[in-house]
Amino acid sequence: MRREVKLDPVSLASGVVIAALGALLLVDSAGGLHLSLGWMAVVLTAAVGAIFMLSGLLGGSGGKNPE
Amino acid sequence: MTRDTRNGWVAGVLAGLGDRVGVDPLVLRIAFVIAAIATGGLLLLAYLVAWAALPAAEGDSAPVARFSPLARVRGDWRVAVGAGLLTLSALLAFRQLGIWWSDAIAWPLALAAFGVALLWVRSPRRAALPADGQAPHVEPPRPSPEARPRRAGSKLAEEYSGAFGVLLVVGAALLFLSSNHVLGGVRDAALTAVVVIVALGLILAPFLWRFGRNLAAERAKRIRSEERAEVAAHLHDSVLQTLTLMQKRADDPREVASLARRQERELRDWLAGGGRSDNGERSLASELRSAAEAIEDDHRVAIESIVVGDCGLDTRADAVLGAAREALLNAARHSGDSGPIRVYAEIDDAGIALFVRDRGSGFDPGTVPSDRRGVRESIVGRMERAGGRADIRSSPGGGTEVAIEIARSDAATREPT
Repeated sequence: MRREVKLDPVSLASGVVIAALGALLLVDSAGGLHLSLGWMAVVLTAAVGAIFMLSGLLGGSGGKNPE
Repeated sequence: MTRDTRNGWVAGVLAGLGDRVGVDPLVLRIAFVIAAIATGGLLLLAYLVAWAALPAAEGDSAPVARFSPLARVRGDWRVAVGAGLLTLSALLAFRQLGIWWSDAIAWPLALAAFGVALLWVRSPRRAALPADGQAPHVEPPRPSPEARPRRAGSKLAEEYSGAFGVLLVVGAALLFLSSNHVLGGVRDAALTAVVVIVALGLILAPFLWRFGRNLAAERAKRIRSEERAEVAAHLHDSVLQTLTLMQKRADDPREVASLARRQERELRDWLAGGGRSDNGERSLASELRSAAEAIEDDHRVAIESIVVGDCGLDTRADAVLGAAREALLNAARHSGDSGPIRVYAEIDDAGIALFVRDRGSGFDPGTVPSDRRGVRESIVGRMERAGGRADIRSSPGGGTEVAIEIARSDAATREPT
């Protein structure tokens, strides 16, 4: 019996963000780019923020604000 | 909070803020201009954000909500955290690019804004009455899937978020002072104050501890005293009065027994919490008890009732109540002094089962004349019309039992048993 494959958009989008982050770090460690600590903070907070935002926008059940 | 575009000069943000906190918008505008100059224009950015995020008082939604999918997920904490982190990332990027005001201003301001936002969210809405006597503006209700009763946990979370907000604002102020080298002068004074407070705490600790313990003991004693007074008042109002009445009616044993049973019921109700039904609505259990009490008083017979479970009075429960009342009346009329009439009812989601038993003289159901409609129509017929059944089991000299059964719904009726 064939299993139906369902895409989880949140996981997919989060994976893309993390893959992009990994690629950036790879380029940095390979010497193609020089990321300072300040820019690293920018990229990391943006990546985590994007994952949260995508999870909230695309995701289903999540804890709701009590307000 | 909303933007007051009618009374606003630009987009109504400060007018709406003034309405919310009860401060003249002119004062806020002057303070805003001074702060905007002091922060090198950073507050203008905050004004733009507020304009985009706040709905207008006239009912228009926030500009950002009209174009953004965020409107659909308002209230989701993940979106809020994500937006906060992305904003932080943008600020950091500006700093890296050199488009920056000053660390001494921007970070304390960002911290304070976050803290104030937290405090703002948990503060009760202020209903300010305008000076011209018009009705205050009331924010239109927004139907939200999150609208549900608050839990105890959310209250605790609110308290924590409030404390966190206060800490953030205080931390922002300290950070600002420290960044501007103002704290150096007050550090010695603050240290002295802390040392004095700690020393005073150590000196006063035994006294405070004893004082707190005495307060707790006093409170417990007062509660016990109040409880004792309440019990004494109830005993005086009910039990003592009934005992006096029983002494006066000592020549009538049935009256005495009736008084004793009524008092017993009242005491049991009082001990069980004082209420017949949880929410004051009519329920089958409370109506059965009321019917039993009324028949007990009217016919001077003892009725012992046990009701397990409860339900509202719908058509089926109403039929059960009517049939039970008729069975109780028959038992009260015909059982004589053969001992108490017993009622047992079991109510659950599947159905209702009720039994009325007496040890009276009994009768042969087959010999009941056709013109006697009490049992046939008021009990058996009523239950059959409602979709249930009633069985009369009786024999001369052997007492009578009326068994009433009905399902709570049609689905339960169709289920095989």
